Amino acid sequence: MRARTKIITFGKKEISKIVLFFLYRAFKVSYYLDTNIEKEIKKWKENMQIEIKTCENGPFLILKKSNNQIKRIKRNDTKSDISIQFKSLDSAFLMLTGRLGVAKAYAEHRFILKGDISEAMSFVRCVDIIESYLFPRVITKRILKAKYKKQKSSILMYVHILINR
Amino acid sequence: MIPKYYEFQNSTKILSGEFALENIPTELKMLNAKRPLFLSDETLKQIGTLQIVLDAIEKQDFKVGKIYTQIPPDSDLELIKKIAKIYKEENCDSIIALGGGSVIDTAKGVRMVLSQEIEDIRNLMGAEILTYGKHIPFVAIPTTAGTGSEVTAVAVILEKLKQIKMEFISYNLLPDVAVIDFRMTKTLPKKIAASTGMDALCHAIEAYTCLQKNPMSDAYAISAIKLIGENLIESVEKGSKIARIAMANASMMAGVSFSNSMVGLVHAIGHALGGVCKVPHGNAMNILVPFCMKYNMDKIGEKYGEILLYLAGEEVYLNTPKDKRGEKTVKIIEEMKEKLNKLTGLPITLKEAGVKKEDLPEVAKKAINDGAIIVNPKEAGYEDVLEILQEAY
Repeated sequence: MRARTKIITFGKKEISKIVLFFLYRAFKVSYYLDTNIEKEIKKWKENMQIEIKTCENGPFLILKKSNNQIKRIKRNDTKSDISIQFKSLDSAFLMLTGRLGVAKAYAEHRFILKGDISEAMSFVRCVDIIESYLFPRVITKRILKAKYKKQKSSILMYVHILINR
Repeated sequence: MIPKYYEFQNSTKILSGEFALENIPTELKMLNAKRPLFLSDETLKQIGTLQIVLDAIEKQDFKVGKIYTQIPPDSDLELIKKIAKIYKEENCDSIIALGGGSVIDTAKGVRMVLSQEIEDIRNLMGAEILTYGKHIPFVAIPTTAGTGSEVTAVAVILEKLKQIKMEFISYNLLPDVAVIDFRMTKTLPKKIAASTGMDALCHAIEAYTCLQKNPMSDAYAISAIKLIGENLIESVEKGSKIARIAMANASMMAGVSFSNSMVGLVHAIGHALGGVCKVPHGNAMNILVPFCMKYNMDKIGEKYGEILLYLAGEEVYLNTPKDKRGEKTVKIIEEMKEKLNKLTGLPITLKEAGVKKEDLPEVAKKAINDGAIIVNPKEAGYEDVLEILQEAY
């Protein structure tokens, strides 16, 4: 592999780790800040586990619903109910950096979806809502099918994400 | 417009037309198969369709290994395991599936168990999990002109315990050969021909307009729409050979198209209607299609307008102002619904289909969790779906 490609791949992995961390925190706090996210997560079965893998051995995020809270599982060897594994880090990077929506990524076969597709739909709706908070309108206009009516400001969401409560 | 990225695969070989059935033994031999397990259902056995295929095969001095016809409309995991066991006990080396979506989906399930060499396929549920596995030669012979299952990368199998329909999506589900022969739809009742024909139209329209439309899937969708526009009414009314083979081809092409570009809102609601109210899939498609198109109109009206040329022909297309073509397409489909209703009694409202109004909220709830809704170009939430259902009632 050329040195330039190595550096870019390393950079993409590190940025993906940061975005996935923000996504986890956003799931955690938006459960309390946004009633639509709360409604969706409440419908998930107890101990429901969802993972997003950027590629085979790349950065990943595993979320677990436990006692009406969203927790992060740091080990990569547990079996999840829903698994979204991107076919390449580059495809994952497009989505994580707001250049591709979840719906379009699914339609373009960018990831492998393991588990009950109907259960995954609720997760997709949550990601869409969270993206409305995390990304500016200029991006969400391109990647989301509809404008979401935010219940709190994005600034407030970011503050909660940073202070983790 | 060319998409930034798309994927497309249709590796199934198509045999279509006169004496297509008679070529099955040659195809099997080319796939190194000598002893196929033949799957079908009791109805096809009773009306003689199964015998037509057996005669066509056996007159080429080719014998099938075992025939199994106890396949219900909704196959479950247990049945699939049972058939896989029969396959092994009878030393079969390939599968022939004769029937509608249920029989072909069952065959896909059996093939999954055999090729992956596993007992439980639940772990393979989802999109693109399935690896290539051991090759089991597979010939599909559709007996309806609607599902397109003979060329789709999708299988739906019932999980009886949890009462869920497990969805499997993988290019490795595609049959090796699809055989389209007009003898297979000769005994198709008019109402089923109408209902499955509208299902095929729906596949093509949604494939042409959903998020992953691409030049390859468009080509198949357009050809399917053109054939349906020219042949659906005639195939139902007169049942002519040419119209029936055209519809079977249209269904197959619509299947190739949606298998690659996916279906949207009409199917999401249709699946839910089937699950909650047991409305047959084609009937649900027939009822819902214009209502869902009206809902999507502000987002993809232009695409619906393009369909008009293929569905209604040059004259209607050119005589309709550009900004009215989308609405005209819906009108043409409404007229088709009316004609099919007069010819066969195919229901045109949910009420006529026996749906109870109090079930609509449950249908809407299920529809927004259907995988098809994600690729609909316009966002549709619970309230939106409920409104569409109420309009269609």
